Amino acid sequence: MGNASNSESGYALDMRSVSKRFPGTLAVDKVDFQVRAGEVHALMGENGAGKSTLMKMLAGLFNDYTGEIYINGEKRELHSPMLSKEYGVGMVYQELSVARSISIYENLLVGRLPKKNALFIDKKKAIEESKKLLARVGLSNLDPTINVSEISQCDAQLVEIAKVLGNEPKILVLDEPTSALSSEEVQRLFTIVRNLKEQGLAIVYISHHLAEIFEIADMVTVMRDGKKVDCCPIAETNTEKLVASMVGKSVGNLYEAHESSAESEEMLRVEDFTRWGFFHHVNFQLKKGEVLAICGLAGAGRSEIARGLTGIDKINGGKIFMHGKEIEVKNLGDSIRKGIGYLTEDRKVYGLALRQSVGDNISSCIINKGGKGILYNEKNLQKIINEKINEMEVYPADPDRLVNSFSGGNQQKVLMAKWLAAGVDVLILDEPTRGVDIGAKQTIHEVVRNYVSQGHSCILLSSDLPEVSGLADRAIILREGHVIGEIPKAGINENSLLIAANGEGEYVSCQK
Amino acid sequence: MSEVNNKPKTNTAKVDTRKEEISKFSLIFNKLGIYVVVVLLIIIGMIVSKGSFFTASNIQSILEAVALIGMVASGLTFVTYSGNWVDMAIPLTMAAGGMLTVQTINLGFIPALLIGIATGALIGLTSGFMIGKFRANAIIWTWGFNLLLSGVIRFVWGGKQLYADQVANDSEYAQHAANTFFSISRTYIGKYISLMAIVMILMMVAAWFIHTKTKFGQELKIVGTNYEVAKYSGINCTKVMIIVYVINGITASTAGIFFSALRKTSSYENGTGYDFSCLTAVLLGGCLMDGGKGSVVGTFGGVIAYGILNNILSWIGLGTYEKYLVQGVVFLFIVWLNTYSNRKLGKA
Repeated sequence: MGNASNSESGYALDMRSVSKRFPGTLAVDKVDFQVRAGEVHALMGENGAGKSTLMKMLAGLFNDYTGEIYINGEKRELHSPMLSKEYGVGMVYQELSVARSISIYENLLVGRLPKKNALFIDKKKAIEESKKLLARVGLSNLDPTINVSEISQCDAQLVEIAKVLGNEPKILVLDEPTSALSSEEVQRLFTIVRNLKEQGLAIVYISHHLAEIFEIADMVTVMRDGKKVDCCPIAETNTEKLVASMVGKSVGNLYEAHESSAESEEMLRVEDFTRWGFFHHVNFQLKKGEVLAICGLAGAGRSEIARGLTGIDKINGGKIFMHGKEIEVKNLGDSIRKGIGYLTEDRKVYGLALRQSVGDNISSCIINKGGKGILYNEKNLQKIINEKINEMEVYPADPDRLVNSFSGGNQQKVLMAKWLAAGVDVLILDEPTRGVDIGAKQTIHEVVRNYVSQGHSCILLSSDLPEVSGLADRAIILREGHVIGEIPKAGINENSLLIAANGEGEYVSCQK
Repeated sequence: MSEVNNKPKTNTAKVDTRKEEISKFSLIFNKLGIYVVVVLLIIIGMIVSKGSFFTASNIQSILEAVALIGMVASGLTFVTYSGNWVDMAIPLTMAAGGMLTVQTINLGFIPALLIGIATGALIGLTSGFMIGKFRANAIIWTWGFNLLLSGVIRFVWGGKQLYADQVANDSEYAQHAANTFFSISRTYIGKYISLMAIVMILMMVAAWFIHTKTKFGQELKIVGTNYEVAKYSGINCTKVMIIVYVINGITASTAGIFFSALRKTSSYENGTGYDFSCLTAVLLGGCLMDGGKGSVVGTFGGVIAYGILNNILSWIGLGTYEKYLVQGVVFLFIVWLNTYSNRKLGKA
C-alpha cells in the first residue's frame, strides 16, 4: 500500500456529508467519499450526476460548500484553489491546461521557476527539475525545451500530469484523461497511473468508459442526482450492475437490432464533391429512410464534407442532388430551406444559446415560420416546440426554462429537438451523443430511428463505434479525404469499421 | 441477476428532485428592478428639492434632459443587446444628423428632416456592414469611424457652426422651414409634456415592438447570445447586425436633429458625451454587456433613473465638473455590477 497515511481514518481523502447548492439546484447532496492512499478510485455517474461539482469542491473552487473534508486525517477548509493545492490536491482536467506555445519546462514549473537572481531564471536548474518530473510519467527522453505544441496529444496529457505532480500532491484527480487518446496511448497512461498508485498516491479516476474502469480502478463510487448511490470494490461489481446504478434501473443491450427503414427512393446524391486539401471527388448516395454513416479517423474530412454540403464552407467542385434535382447551397440558411440540416458537434460553442430558453433555442432554425411578414409570435411555434420537447423527453419539460440550467444530456436533447423542429429531409448528425449519459443517448438513438422511419434520412458522423454499428444502415469509409470503401449493414461492427478506417480489410476498394 | 429490460423508455421521466422552480416574482423583480430604483430616486428627489420636485418646470426639465438620451438609448439597446457593447460613433452620428438637416433646410422642413435621418441610417449601414460582414471589432471600428466622421464634418464645414436661420435663403418657404425646425424642440403639449418627450416615448414603443414582436428581434436574441450558434442555426447574422446598426443610426441622428434645434445651432461637437451617458442608461436598464439579455422596457426605466439622478444632482447644487465626477462613478459602478452579475450568471 505504499507509504500509507498514518491518520486515524486511514483515508488519504475523506469527504463527509458534503453538499453544494447552486441557485435552484442542490448539485451535491450530503455525499460521503473516501479514498485510500495507493488506491485508484473510480467516480462514475451520468452527466449532471454531480461528479464534476464534487471534484470542483475538492479543487477549492467553491467557498460555500457544507460538510467536512479531511486530508490525511486533518480537517481542511478548501476554500480556494491555492489552499487546495497546498493541502495536496492535484487536479488534471479534461481540457488540457498546458499552454501550447511555450516550452515544456515553463509549463511544468509555471509559477515556481527556479531563479538565479532577482531578475533571471535558472534555466539549467529548471530543465533538470523538469526532467525529473517527466521521468515520473515515463517521458524521460523528452526534451523539456521544446514547445508543447510540437508534442503529441498523449504526451501533452502526460506533461499535464507531470505538472500537477510537481506540486507533490497526495490526491490526484484525473478527469476523463483518455478522451483524446488512442487505445495504445491509453495503455501507456495506465502504466503511469499504476506507477503513481504504487508510489502511494490516492487517485480519483473519472471516466465514462466502463472498460477502462474495470481495467484500472480498485474501488468505484457511483453518483446519481447529486447523491452517492453505490460504492464497492471493483471486483464485486460488473458492467450491468454499474450501468444499472448509474441510470437508476437496469438497462438491456444499448443497441438492439433493428430493421433498416431505407427505401429504394433516392434522397440525396453527391457527385465529385471536392474541397481542395480536405476531400476530393467524393461520391455517395443517400436513400430515403436511411442512416448513412461516414466513418474515418480524426482528420479524414468528415466534418468538412458536412460543412461543404450545408454551404458553411465554399467547395471547389461537385454537384449536390436532392430528390434527383440539382441544388446549389449558398449558406446554412439556404441549405435548411432546401432540406439539409446540420447538427454540429460541441453544443456549447456551435449548438445552443445557453443563456436563452429551451423554446427560443428549439425555434432558432424556424424563426421565419413564426408569423406573417416581419411579425413574430412565439405562440405560433408553441405547438411544435412542445411536441419536440415531448418527443425528446427533455426534463423538466418547460420551454421557458433557460438552457444553462439543464444537465449536459438534456442540453443535447434540446439541440436534437431544435433540429427535429427544423423539419429538414436530410439531417447530418455530427457526434450527436458525445459526452452525454446513457439515458439521453438511448433517447437520441430512438428518435433518430423514428425520424428516418418517417421518410427522412440521416448522415451520421461519429467516433463512437458502438453507436455507428448500432445505428447505421450503411457506412462509407473516408480516409485522407477520399472515399475508400463502403460497408453494408450486415458487415458493420466495431472491428470492421476500425479496420476499414485504417485502410485495410475486405470492404476497402480504393476507388479513388 | 438484474433483469434485462429491453425497452428502457421510461427512465428519462425520472423525477429530478434537485431543481427548484424559480419563482415568477423574482423573475419580474429581476426584469423591472430598475423601476424600484426610479421610485427611490423620486423619493430622494422630493426630499432634496423640498417638495418642488413635481413642479411644472422641474418635470419639464427632467423630461427634456431625458428625451434626447432616451431617443439614443432606444436604438443603442439593440447594439448592446447584440453583444457589441456600445456604438462609439453615436456623438458624430448625432452631429451629422443635425448638420445635414440644417444644411438642407432650404428644401423644406420635412425633406431636410428625412435627409438628416437618412444620414444616420447610412452611417449605421456602414458600421453594420463592417461589423456584421467583416467581423470588425465593434468598439475599435465605431471609435475610428467616429474620428473619421469628425474629420469629414470639420473639413466640409471648416469647423463652423451652422444656424438654420442663416443657412435658409430669403424665400418665405425656407424661413418657415427654419422656424419649424427651431420649434420642434420647444413645442409643448399640455403644460408639461414636450414634443421631444413624446417622440422619445414613441421611439421607445417602436423599439419595444421591433425587439419583441418581429422575426428580426427573435433572430437578434440568438445572435446576441452567441454569434456562432446563430450562424450554425442558419440565421443571416450579417443582415441582423446591419439592421441593428441602421436602427441605432436612425435613433441617434433623430436625437441629433432635436439637439440641434434645441441649441439653435449645429456643429461637430453636438453629440459629445452621449455615447457614455446613453450606455449608462442602457446598462442601468438591465442590458447585459455580453448581449442577449435586456429589454426596451428596462432601458426606458434606466433613462428615467438617469434623468432623475442628474436632476437630484442639480438640486443638491453640484456644478458641471462635479456632475462629471458623479456620472463617471455611476458609469463605472454599473459596468462593475454588470460584469459581476454576468459572472454570477456564468457560474449558475
